[in-house]
Amino acid sequence: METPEPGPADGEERLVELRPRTRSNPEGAEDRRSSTGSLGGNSNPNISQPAVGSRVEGEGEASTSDSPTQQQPTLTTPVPPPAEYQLRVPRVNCPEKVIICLDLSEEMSLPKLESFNGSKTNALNISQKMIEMFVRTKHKIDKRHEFALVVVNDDSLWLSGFTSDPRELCSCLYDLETNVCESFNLEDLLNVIRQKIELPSMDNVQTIPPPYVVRTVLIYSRNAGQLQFNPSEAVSKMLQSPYFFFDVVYLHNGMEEQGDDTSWRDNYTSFCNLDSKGMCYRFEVSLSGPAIELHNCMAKLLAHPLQRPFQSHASYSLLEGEDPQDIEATV
Amino acid sequence: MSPEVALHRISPELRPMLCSVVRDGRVGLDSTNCLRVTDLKTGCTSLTPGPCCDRFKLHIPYAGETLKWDIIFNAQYPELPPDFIFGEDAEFLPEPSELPHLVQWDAGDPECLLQLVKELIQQYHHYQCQRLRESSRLLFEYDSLLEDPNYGRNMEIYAGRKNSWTGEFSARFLLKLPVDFSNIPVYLLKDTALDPGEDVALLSVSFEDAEATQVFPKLFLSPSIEHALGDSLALQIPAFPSGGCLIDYVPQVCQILNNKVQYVIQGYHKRREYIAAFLSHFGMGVVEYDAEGFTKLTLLLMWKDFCFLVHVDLPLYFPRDQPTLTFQSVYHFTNSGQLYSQVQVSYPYSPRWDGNEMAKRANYCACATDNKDVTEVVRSHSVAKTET
Repeated sequence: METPEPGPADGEERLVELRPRTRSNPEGAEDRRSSTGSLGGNSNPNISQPAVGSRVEGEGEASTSDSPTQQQPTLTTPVPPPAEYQLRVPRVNCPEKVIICLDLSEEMSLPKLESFNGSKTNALNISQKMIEMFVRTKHKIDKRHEFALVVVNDDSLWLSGFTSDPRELCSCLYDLETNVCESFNLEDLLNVIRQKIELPSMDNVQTIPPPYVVRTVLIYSRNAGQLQFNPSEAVSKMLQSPYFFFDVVYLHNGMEEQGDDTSWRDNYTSFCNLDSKGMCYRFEVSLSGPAIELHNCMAKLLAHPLQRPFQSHASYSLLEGEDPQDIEATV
Repeated sequence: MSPEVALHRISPELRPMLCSVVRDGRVGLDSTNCLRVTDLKTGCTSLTPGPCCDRFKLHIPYAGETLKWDIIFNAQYPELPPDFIFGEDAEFLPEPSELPHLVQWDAGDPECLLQLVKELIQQYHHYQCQRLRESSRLLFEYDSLLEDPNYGRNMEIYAGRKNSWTGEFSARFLLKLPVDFSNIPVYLLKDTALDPGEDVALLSVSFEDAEATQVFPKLFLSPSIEHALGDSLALQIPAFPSGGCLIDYVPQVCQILNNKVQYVIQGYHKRREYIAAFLSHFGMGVVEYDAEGFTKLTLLLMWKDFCFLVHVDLPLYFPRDQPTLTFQSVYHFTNSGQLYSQVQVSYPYSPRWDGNEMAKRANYCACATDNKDVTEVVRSHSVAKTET
């Protein structure tokens, strides 16, 4: 029986060989070789390590400062906040509890999105399909993931969940109707969520992986009025937890408002500012653009919040024919 | 009878000793089987208020058999040591001087009965070994194993009584194999709460006749080890060679097990290397990967404006067994409402490549062949699927 020797490929850094976690070595693969708290040691001694574990560039992600290609024509998302705000959670694929929040305002049923064959379709339609794709795919990857559905009108309503069966969630998904909404109450939405979840306790955030993480994915399309948000202490605490993530897909009308009316950009920036840890994903998509953009956002949102790169580092392109940049990876 | 019921019915003075026997009491090599209690009875009159049971049958796994010994206390005099009836082994008469826990019986020590049972088992083992003298062939097997420090200390022998029809003598040897399982990655040893015992491999060899012409070996693994090494069908041991002897055969079996263990450990390292290499090449598009056992990885890739997913599944005996790549569309479902995906097995692969080479080749493969397939999918499904 041939047992091939593991050896470094030409020109590639050899990963530090760590003992696997065994009964005789329970620490094993989580041996700390550096203070970063990553699962694997960083074998490049030239990269300086910040004192508190952080995901700033050079630690284990892209070692060059720009991503290879920028595919999406989005706003530049804010750079990750400085090291002292970072609490690095181990990059373990623990189960996720994903709360999908679907905006049911009128804008969602305007037939402005351009589908594959050139005809017009509406955002609700596409959202339903992409949510179904999302939950089925997540379920296929790991059957422990759980899902919930919240619909947002003037108030937020918890429709279904948590369930790990994608069919259960999808059964609530297709009977929805939009209506005219006066306002968006973000505080109410976050309170509804807060009452239904319990975040894991935060002992040893950097060394002990949590039993699960909670992620909210908000698909939002209102354009009128500025986002009013004065979070209570409990809601702020939830938003700041290292085990809570708030991803947003903002469908906007693309128009720059004049005068006193706020433009969608202001609203989008407000959403971005909710993310104090720099770990969340935000997308803005035009309601009159190609539907494929919306599908692509949802696909990018499949990524596990503890294992996905910072949004600004994310890159999905296949590099054809040339040697890809050797990005250091820690596992 | 469940342990709880037995403990409920036993006389209170005897309860602590019975407790240490039924709760995790293990006396022999086979640590996966607990001691069991049945036929709980009392020697008191029926007017005595309960609970007052003071005698029971203890089932003890030994050398692949189950011994059924009667243990008889006296509820009126709980400080006295019990009597034993050793099933049908009427000739088993252990020397009391060899039983320290009987000689110095301490009714106040809850472990006393369990320790006494262990000493009795040791004596029983000697008794059985004596009976091997009836077959010089089997005695030779025993002696040769005894001399080897790897095996000699971890044997249980059961020498069956002669078959009254044929006059044949038979014996069973149960050996604990000195295989080191401690380096198996913990994630493979699932549910240690359900299987808290030692990780052990036992080889049972039955000699159906004194001349050792009918020999039947069997391998027993504790449940978590069996799971870690793949299913039991994969763990086939060679038949006992005719004319062979245990001192040659047993090391052979150990070697096979050791190889399997090494292979599993290597497989873990190789999978880890593979996933690291893939993350290195495609890491900015990682969706999820198994960070514990490195058995799977999902990537999101983009070609022009078109996204697709690649699910990589790594088998237990990687790199001997090839990983499965499944390509999945993020836009379409099949006619039956399932995710539209396509499994790819015929891509360039060699178990001798290291992780980096595998990642590079998979990259070229994804670029070269599947973009065509994927755009075909878009074109053919675009009319049917994207409308409500």
